[in-house]
Amino acid sequence: MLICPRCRSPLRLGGACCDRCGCHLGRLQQMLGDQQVKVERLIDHARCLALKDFQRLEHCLDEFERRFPQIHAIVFLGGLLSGVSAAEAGFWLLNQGVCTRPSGTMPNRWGLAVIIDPVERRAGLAMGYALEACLPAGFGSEMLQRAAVHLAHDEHVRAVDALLACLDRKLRSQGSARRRTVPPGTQRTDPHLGLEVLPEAAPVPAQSPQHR
Amino acid sequence: MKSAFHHGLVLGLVGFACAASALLAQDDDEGLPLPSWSEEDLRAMREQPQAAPLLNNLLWPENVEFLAETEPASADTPDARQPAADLSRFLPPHLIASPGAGRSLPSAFIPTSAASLRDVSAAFLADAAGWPPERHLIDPNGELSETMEGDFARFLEFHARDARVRLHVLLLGRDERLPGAASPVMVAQGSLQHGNACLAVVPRGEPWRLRLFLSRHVHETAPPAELAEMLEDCVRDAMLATDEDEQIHRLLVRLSIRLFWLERLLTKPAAVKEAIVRNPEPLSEVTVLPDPVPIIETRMTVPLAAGLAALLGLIFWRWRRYKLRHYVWTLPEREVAPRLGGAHCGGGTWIDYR
Repeated sequence: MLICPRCRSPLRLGGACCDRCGCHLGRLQQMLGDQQVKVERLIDHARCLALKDFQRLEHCLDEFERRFPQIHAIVFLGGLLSGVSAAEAGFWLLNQGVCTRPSGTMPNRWGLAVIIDPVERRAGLAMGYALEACLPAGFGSEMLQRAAVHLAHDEHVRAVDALLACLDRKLRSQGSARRRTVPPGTQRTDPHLGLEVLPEAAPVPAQSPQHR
Repeated sequence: MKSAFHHGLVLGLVGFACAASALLAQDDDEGLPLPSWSEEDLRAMREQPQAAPLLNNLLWPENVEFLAETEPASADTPDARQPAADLSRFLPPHLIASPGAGRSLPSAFIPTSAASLRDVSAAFLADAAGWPPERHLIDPNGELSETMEGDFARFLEFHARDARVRLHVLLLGRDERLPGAASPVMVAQGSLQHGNACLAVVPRGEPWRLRLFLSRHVHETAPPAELAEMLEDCVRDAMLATDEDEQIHRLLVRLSIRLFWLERLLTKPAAVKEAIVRNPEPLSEVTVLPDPVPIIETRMTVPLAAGLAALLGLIFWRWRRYKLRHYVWTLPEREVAPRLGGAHCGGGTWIDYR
């Protein structure tokens, strides 16, 4: 069952806004902006992750995205504007964000946004349409409940790990497995390993002896 | 009238019987001589009055001085009726001898080290293979004395006469063992292949190294726990004795009893068994022990099963890790109608975890 990210009331399929609170993307764009934003995979505005936790979380996300190359995950830890719920933040992030990987820009219909507000102690989850269609109704709430056990102890890494593990098991039962191969075109043929080439620096004029 | 005649007849018979018994008793008393005591006997009684045969004080010689000393004040007390006597005269000498005076007991339970065990010789195996089938005690080394061998052989013949599972006993030396390549099937000219048989390989003096081989039919019919218990029971009972011959004796008796118990668990009735004996089955179907399994292996079932389960679990775990690392999952694309104005996402859910 689809619910409104703001008031949690049921939504109509294809409805342009929530029948109860009138929530829609346009309202969020007025509050948070309507421009496209570049989104990193792990955003820690709250600065609640130590370096070790940051690396562990990166590893979790790496493993998850390696098993499901269609999906990209975004974890946001930080305070939210008043009047914006965690689910609304994820909803806005997946529609306005541009997430890039070495293979290119990831389609947000396969995106997963995990929003954690450690100050207000609330967490939200948003999924793109394609990912949402692979999961049963209400599975997002179930994942959040599993993560809440660890979030209550401020164990953010374990919370995200538990959430991803739950999603991992479900998606493996839904998808078809095949042995991983290096996709064609991955090997670079251009020079400089595909790195951006800096413009050549202008030659520095030699200082004349008179300046000394 | 008729009942009075019967009563009279019964009374007459009873009276005749009493008179006849009295006459016979009188004849017996007259026929039995009274004991006569020599001077040496009297001297011995004076020296050890408590060891003399009393027989309720009726057979003492007359005018014995120590009679009054040994006679208790109250003859009705239990102590008087059962006076203390020196039982040493009624026990075998080796039972009352001091422990250090007899044979050395501890050596009976010192096991031969595994390094000291040696395989039996080829000549031993050849003798065992050519042993007459009707002789159930197989002793190529001649470990037993002639008397003990005769006793055990008669016992095994007696067992084979009544039991459905014949018992053959192969005696080994104290430091001997059967080589791994030796097949117990070939013992006694292959007679163990026919019918239900049990071969007990008994190292002399080391009953804890007992090995039992059963016919396949018996082995598969009886529960493994019962067989393991049978083996343990035989070893336990043999260990109660310290004498090597006595150990073998106890082991054989216990094993014979357990084989009789085992018969109740065999499902095949006797009539069917006799039919099989008269009409031997083809070679491939004969109930023999082509691949005899020592019963001791049944005790390894649980550890083996646990080890197998652990191995399977390890393989599954490794395979799962390998799959998670080297496989990717492709999810199907499904069309979803956009909602709430979102092009890629149509909402979400949230919780408070405070």
